[in-house]
Amino acid sequence: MTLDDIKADFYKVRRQFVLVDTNGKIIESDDALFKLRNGSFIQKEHAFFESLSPIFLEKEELQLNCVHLGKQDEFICDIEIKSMADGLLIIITNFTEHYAELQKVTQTRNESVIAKQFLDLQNKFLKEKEAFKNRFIANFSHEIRNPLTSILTFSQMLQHTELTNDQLDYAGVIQSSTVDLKNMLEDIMDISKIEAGKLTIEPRLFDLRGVLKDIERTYSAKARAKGLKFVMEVDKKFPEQVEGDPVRLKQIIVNLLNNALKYTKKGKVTLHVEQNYRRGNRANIHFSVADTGRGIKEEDQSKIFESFSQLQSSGDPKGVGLGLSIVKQILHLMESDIKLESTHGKGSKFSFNMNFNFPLIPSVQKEKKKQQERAERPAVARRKEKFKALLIEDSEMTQMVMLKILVSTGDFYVEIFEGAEGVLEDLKHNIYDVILMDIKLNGIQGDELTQQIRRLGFNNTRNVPIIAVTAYHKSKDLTRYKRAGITETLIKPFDEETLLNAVYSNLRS
Amino acid sequence: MRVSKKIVLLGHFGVGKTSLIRRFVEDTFSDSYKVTIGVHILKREVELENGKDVNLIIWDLEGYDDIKKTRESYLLGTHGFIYVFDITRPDTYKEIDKSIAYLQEKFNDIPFKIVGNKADLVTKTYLKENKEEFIVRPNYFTSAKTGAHVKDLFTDLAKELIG
Repeated sequence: MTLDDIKADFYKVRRQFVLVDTNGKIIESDDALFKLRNGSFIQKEHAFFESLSPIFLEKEELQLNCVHLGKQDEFICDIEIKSMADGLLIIITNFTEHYAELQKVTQTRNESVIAKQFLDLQNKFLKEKEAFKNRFIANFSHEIRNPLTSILTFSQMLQHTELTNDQLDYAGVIQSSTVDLKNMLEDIMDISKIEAGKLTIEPRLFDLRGVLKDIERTYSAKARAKGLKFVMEVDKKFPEQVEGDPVRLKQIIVNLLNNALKYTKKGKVTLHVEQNYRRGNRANIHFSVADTGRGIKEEDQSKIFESFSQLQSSGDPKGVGLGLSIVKQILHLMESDIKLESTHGKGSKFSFNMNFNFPLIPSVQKEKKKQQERAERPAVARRKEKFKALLIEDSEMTQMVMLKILVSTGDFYVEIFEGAEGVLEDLKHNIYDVILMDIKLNGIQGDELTQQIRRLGFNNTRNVPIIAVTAYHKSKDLTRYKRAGITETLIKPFDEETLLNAVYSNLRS
Repeated sequence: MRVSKKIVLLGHFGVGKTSLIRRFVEDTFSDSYKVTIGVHILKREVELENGKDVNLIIWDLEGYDDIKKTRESYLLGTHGFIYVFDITRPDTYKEIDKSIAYLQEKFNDIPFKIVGNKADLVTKTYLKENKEEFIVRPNYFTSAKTGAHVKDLFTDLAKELIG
């Protein structure tokens, strides 16, 4: 740019002066920006002046900024209108460049504000959708528990009756399908809890070897049934008692094992547990589950941990595809992560490391002892005279299931109440060996009724074991039940064995 | 001589004021958003059923999140207001009652219409079920994109202005 150009730009006229009479007729214009014909009306030149003409004479002075003018609205101008003796002076100043810059800034700002509003709205919508989904799953799962419990227990009991071989097979299929259904339901509930941030890790001191032995017992049998070998390799170095959440740890291992069994047609499934290192009172333990199944293609490896994703291929075993997603998310809650090594066609290995605190001086193995005691109790508790059980339950189906299970042992007389009414009065006159209490009763919560029973003040009402039977088993619920005087909580859906274990282990011989 | 009436469109930015006017004046629509700064003035002649004609001079104002920021000089000599909000963005209508009250207080006798724009983005059922959501009941749910109720809006207002 030459100096002349710069000067030309500097001196460029940006302002036009126009004189009009009181009717808007143009008397004179310097035409610096727009060409205006003398004698024509300013109102005809642009709609802006047309709409302004009624107020031309009302104001001494008028200033309007940032007005788009020109045939294509190509000029952005500030306009001053001043009253003169015989008309008006209109001064138009061209600020197009300045306003064009301002337009760009405003554009960016507005776009980002709108984008943010859109995101906020989308978040709100997603949260509402998520909350609805979780509420739906929670209600639905809860409703499904009672019928599921009935199917589970009755199909078990059916197998104890006189059946032909075919009938026995059918009852077995009903039972194993119901167990599958129950597991799926639990998976769905877990994933919805995880996604709602409601699944919590509840650490306590537990016997890690004991948990592994339980797993070994179950999975040796399961593998054998499928014609597979189950190998468990456990390092002897790690501490006996560790602090962690045994329920969730077991769930992780079991989900990995189920997954391995599901996709392995021949060969073996190996659970390997070894201590990586130990520092002070902290041990880092490595867990892996390896199989000789069909393996996972590399492009699929990242997908398998997503909820409801089951790799599509013909002959896939059924399921909802939540197992691995649950593993990944629970591990995340436990500050660990799952690792996958797999060769398509040869097999897969899932592994993770976990930190455990452990007591430097092992406490007396209370947990183990208690477990042993519990296992032995039913035998100790058996006696010639029948036990008296009181069942407080409003669902007829559950009443029938529990009644059948208890009566079929030949050890129990069962008294049934459908609700709280009459229970307290009955307890003043009768002594029971055990009370089974539904929590969601009509008009009163089972834990409240328990409190009232405990307060009756008789020896037997103070000491009788009260077993809550419920689908509500969040840790805060369990604490509340305990405080109310409930001895043990039995979670729906339960099977025959679980109910009898809970009852026998609480009976006093 | 044909009468001219000045109509001013108000409302938050990005609610579709310019698009409504373009649909009405030029029968065009663009999906891209271009911020209006200051004011654009457009004009369309409207022929009413009773044979009367009117020149609608429509002031397309820069949108603000607060109506009080509007330059007062733009509102001088206005014959009718159209307050536009975006039915998909609660920020554009959550304080609409205050904006309307402000207009009523300052321009007591001047007719105004309330318009929920971008109706093409939701279903009719949604509008029916969520009408309480918009705080005030809009006179029209419009779509500059499809043209739904745009002509009705301007011609109804024009009729009201001519009387």
